[in-house]
Amino acid sequence: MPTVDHRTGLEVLLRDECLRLLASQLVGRVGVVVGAWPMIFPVNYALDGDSIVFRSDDGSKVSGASSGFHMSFEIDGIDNAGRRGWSVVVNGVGREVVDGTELARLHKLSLEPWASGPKTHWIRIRPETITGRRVARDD
Amino acid sequence: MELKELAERECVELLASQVIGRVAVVVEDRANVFPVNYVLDNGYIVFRTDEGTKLDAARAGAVVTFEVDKSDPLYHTGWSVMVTGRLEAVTDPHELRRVRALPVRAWGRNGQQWLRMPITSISGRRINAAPILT
Repeated sequence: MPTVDHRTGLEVLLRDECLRLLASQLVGRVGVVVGAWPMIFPVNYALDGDSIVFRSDDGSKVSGASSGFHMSFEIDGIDNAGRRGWSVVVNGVGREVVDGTELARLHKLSLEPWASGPKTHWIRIRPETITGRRVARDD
Repeated sequence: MELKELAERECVELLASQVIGRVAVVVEDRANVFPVNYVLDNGYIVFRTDEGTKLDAARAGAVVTFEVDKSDPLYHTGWSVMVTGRLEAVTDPHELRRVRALPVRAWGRNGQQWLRMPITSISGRRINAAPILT
């Protein structure tokens, strides 16, 4: 029996379902505050355990994130079986991966960056919360 | 692989071609991202919501960012458009009557509140993968 958020009428997805959906997609969006403004940009990403990893350029919005930035990561889609929309949002702290052993492992993920550029930096978002919603069935 | 900045007119055309976008709202110095169904109306992005973060942001007149994208991971092509503007709640009765007739479904069940943001600044880019030579 799915859990429904009574405020919105949306079905609440369990963490395992969110992780399954995160593992099923290739492109997501990172939301981050730059100065006082929110920004959103698409990235190719991989799910590594329960964290999100993506690549970034020198001088980009999130490079030098060694001390950590709050980031919101979002994916959404249409469930073809039921033609219902769903979304998963990961909130957490994004940090640049600097450990050599970990970087070597991440390089093997064969993660292609969404846009051009050397994308030499790897950013990992460690989740504080993972939430998912699906448009509930009408019936 | 080439990355191309898009002209404003093309950005608006791409914005008009989609129905689901994401809005980012700053809450306590953090960006919160929400998917919304939307429609483009006279230079405004219009979407529905209920009580919550987005409505609070509109009441506070917060500047938010809206994003749409489309990508084909197989061929490694895609585009994204980002819009920034001040979010507002539609409260004028005549204007409300008009926007309620727009073809936009709420992401959730209710969506009793109508929000809009002007396209104050818009930018976009497109990526095209170089052909694979064998």
